[in-house]
Amino acid sequence: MIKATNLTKQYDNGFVAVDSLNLQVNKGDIYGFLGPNGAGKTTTIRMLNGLIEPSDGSVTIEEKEVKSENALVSKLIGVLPESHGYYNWMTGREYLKLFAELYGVDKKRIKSRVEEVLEWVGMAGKADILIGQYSRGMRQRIGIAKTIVHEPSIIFLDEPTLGLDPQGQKDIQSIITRLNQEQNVTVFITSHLLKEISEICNRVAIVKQGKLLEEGYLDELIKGYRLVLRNENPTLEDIFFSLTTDEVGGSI
Amino acid sequence: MSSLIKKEIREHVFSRKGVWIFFAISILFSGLTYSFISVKELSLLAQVEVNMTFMKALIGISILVSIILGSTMVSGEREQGTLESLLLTPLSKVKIILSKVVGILVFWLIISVISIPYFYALTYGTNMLLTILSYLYLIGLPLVISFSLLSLAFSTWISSSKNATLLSIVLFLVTAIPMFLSTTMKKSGFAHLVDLLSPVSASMLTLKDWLVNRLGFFFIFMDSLPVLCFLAISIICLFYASKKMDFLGGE
Repeated sequence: MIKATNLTKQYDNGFVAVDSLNLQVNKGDIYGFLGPNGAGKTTTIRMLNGLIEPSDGSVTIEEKEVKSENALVSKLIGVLPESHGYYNWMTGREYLKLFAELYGVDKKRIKSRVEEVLEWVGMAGKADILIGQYSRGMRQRIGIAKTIVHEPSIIFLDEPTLGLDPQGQKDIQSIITRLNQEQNVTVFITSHLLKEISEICNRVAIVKQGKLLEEGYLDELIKGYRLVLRNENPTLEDIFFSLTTDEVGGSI
Repeated sequence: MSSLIKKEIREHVFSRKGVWIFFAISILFSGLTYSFISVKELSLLAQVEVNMTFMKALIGISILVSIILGSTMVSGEREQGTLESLLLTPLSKVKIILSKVVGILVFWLIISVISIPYFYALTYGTNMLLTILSYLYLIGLPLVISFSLLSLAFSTWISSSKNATLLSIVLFLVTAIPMFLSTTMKKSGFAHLVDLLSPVSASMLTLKDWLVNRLGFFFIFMDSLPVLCFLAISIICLFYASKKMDFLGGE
């Protein structure tokens, strides 16, 4: 379970990227974290996984304080950052082996675990090719494999389908759903693709300028917004735009 | 941590780049040695002077190569977007930096091993080889490592590899300035101060007192004190920098 209380990030220049955010992600959730560009999604993810320190507030993961028990928390979580780089001179298999070792996976189990995750992401046949020769979709698959190689109970995916073609997006969505359903992995995902989020997430949060605007189970949100939007079947897109579009007519 | 050390060694030492650097250094050493033997004016130099010149060249090249390597190690990871993933592992920041230090150390050890046959040829017929090698590993190693640690610290603080490399080279040039000054200039004002404090100057003075003047341990130790102080300062700087290391870096 992820619990963020009063999470705030204010930079030295006074800019508040995240403002008193309160979140709770339950075990087994696929939690969609939505917001326009500059809403503070990536900053929030980085605070949740302990990469940057919040100016105020606290985060606990599986009841462990992220700030004080960082090494312990890092074994419980897997993170696929938005601008994720790779060692292009390594093969996919070598890359996964390296991260399995860095995360302290049992030495006897590393080989079989690497094979397992390669199968999971559909890269078993291409694992001995240099990452530098991979397409963007293949790199994302290897990135997801790296994220789950140490068997985390929670994964953070920051725009995992960014820049992928429709088939690539669908493949990544299917991997995420299977991970959640078959391995009971809790997923915290950000994406600009609202259709994608509404297809795979059971809960969503919508943020704008660092503030939480709406949060809840997707089906309940849709029910709740029927009256507000005067629409019998509002989509996540309708809710998102009603919350994030300013009076001038564009989202910030 | 051992897996990260292996990765660093593979990436920087046994990579195409690393092999080319070792090859270029071998060619350079061969050229220098050949000149000392075949060029009439150079072959007239005393053997001790020949070895001192070769040692200066070896240390200068080693410092330059290791600062270029060190200054691109962390900022390079940051630029290619891999630092974030490393920082997310349970490995501490100090261990991540230490693995990079080991990478540089292995790189330098290979350069030093490449130089041994050349020293063997240049000291042939004398009993200087052991002294030369002792100097190389007792004084040369701390000096080269100090510069690499500082360049690693710059690489940790500064987000751009180019700026970190530039800063490291400027630091090397400033500390090496006394080598290019005349004896009279070295005795006056600011130049005297730089000469007194410079670890590069101190290493050269140690070399002279060890090889030519054959002074005792105490004097050699006193000569090399700036090198050891420089090493201590570099270690402190790197330790502080590693604690502050983040995936964004500064300017």
